[in-house]
Amino acid sequence: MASYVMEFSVRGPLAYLSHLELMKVFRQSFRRSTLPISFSEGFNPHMKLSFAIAKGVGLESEGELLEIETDQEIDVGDFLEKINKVIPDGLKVKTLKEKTISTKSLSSMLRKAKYLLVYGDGVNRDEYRVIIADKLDKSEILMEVKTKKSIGIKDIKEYILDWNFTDTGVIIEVYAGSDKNLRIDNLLKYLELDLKTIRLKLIGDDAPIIDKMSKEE
Amino acid sequence: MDIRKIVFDGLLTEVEKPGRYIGGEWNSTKKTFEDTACQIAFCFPDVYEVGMSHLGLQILYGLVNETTPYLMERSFMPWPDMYKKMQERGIPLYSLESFKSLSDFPIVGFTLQYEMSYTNILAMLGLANVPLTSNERMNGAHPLVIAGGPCSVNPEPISSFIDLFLIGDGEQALPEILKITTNYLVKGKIENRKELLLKLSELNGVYIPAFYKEEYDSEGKYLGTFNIHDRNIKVKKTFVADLDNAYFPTKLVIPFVDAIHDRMMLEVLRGCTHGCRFCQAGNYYRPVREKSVSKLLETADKLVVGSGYDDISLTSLSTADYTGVKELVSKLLAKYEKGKISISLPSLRVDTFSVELAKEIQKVRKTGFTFAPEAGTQRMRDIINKGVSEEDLMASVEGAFQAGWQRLKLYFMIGLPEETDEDVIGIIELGKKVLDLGRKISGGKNIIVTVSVASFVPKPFTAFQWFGQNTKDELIRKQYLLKEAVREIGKGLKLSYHYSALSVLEGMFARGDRRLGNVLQSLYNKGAMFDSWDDWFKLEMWNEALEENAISKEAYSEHFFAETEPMYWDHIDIGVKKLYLWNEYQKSKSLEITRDCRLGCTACGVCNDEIRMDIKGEYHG
Repeated sequence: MASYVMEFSVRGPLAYLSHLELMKVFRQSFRRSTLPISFSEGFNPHMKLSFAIAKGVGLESEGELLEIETDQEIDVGDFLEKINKVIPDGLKVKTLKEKTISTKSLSSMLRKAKYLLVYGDGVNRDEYRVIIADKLDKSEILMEVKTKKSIGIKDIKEYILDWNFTDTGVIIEVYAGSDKNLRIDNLLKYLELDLKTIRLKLIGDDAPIIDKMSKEE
Repeated sequence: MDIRKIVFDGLLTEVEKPGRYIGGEWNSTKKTFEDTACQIAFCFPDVYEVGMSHLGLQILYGLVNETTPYLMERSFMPWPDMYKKMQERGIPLYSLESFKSLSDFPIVGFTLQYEMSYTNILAMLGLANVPLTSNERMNGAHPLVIAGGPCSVNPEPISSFIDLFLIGDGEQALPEILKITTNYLVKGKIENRKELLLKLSELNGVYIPAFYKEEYDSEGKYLGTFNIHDRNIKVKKTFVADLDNAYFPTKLVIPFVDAIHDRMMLEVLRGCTHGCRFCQAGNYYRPVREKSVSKLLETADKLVVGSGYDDISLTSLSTADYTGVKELVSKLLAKYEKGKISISLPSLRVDTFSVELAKEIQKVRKTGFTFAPEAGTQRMRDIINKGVSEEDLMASVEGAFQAGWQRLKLYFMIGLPEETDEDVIGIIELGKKVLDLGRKISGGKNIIVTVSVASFVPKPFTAFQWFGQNTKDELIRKQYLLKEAVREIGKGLKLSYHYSALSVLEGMFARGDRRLGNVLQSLYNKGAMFDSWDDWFKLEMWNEALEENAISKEAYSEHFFAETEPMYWDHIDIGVKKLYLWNEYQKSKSLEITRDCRLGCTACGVCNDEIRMDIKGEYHG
């Protein structure tokens, strides 16, 4: 028995799959790959897979994380080749790391997430830079957010940790996970601009989760 | 118009289950318009989850894309939320592979699985800006609109909208149709449509409504529908004679969104020999053709490797009839148990053999068990030629309860010929006996018996095709009888039945004629869609459409045909002879049973030099 974490990207149309549909794609892809993924015990055995966090419908990502358990140790190169051969276009497994910190789940390690907001085709980039800087620099960003029961008001400013412009857009780091979480679509609603979102990385206390999988590191 | 761009630029975030509209599923074809000579869009007139459960789609998709130089893409009826948004934004209905409008395909093909999906066919053509009627498409470079599937045995109600019907097994004629059409394409569009249709009409199983005309006498009485070139030409159903060596898909397209039947489908045989007098599929898919165990095991292997599914369903009209079923099941179980792949049987007979089989398969999960006695009394079961006795049922049920099943579902029908109130109440009495037996065996555990009662709809090419359907009021009265009888029994017995208004309309279409095309056109104008879904079916809309065209649904549904009276589907020949069916109808009235034709030919007329029953092993009764 061994545990691994894989980082994968979701691009294009497949971004529109729901969390459960994405889970199903991986279950079926692992079956096709014949990789030795472990099953749970009991009457209704299921594959042992767990995501760090659900990905919103429509969101593209370069850094989703999935934890898997296998019956025996697997070779990273072999794994990447086998799985990428049998997953639908639009999904790609980028890295696999053995997970030796067995006590913590991915979701409990998650603190932050990094996003790239890409300018839409044909927008005036200089103008956008000014607007975005202005909007994010405000001392308070009050937003109506839907909770399960009602609509509440939240200051999302304190959820935004860092942001920097690049040539094509803005990279922004926000709180993510069970303690403090900013849904990126809420931020987009606030910005009201022609931007496409891509999640870049899921991050723990001090570094990307994928880099902190083993005790030695 | 770049449909792909519009769809992915915001539209999909506004609708339910966007995964229905994105394509790109595992094993979906990578062929393109550019590298193929002719293209067809397979259109399923229902929502994605229903259409992707359809084995016929997977068979034809694989056949065309893997074995021919042509291309098949898929399209489904968008759910009303998506339909409305596409309509508002002028986005035509597109195929899931190349995101091209249906109007860009040389051929658009629909499958006719149930009558109440006809309104969706018009809605799909309309959304793709394809002119609805065959007449309107006659001039100009429009797609050839074709249709096949069980409802095509009486094509007339929808014949104004379809250029060509394919009667019988689609894998036989479809590649031929594509091949011929290729010769009539100029820059991907059909030229010389009339000549193309003439050429296609030479193929077996092809019915082209434009070449047939219905005739009436001076008093307006229907005389028949005749070929305009040669009055006596009938359209003969096509068959796959050697099913064992026929193409079967092993690279299934795997839907992202959960389909209704989301598993590997392994077709073990086609057809049915039981001869139930109400059953259209039993006649349409005759004669029985089995596959060999070795071929099925080979196919299963490829399916498992290529799909990623964890359940193999052994499909057919009656899988327990398959002569190799025991061997197949035990070999599949032995082979795949370790890989945690389960086997399931979707249809079981009412007998202990089937229960034993199910026990072997479902070692763990004991969720539900379904039997179809179809009628509540022996007299009624003899009338419909359902060769099942109460002893058979009780023995099967006993086996199921003893094996630990606690939920049983029993399928019945009301509104059958010669039915009395005793027969109706007999359904509940039988349900009660089953419930009592279950309680006795399980020692008072929570046994639930669900009695599901459909309203009988007489269908063409059955022994009951002459029979007039019960009136809506009569069906409701019988449903009330059932309800009252169930109330006396109380907990443990559950009853479900169908919406009678829908059954009547289904009856109208099933045995309807060309005049019903006007009703469909009116329904389209009013925006009708998803009429087989209780939530979307709008009775007022239908009543208005019928009234506008001065058509009485009851004149169709309740009509008793006389022995010599021409029927609207007489120009179609599915192999089973009309005289055989008439004799079956007469025998039903005297409670005379007709044997299973595996035990001796019953002379239905389907077998001949080219096609015959093909059984691979010893029949176990």
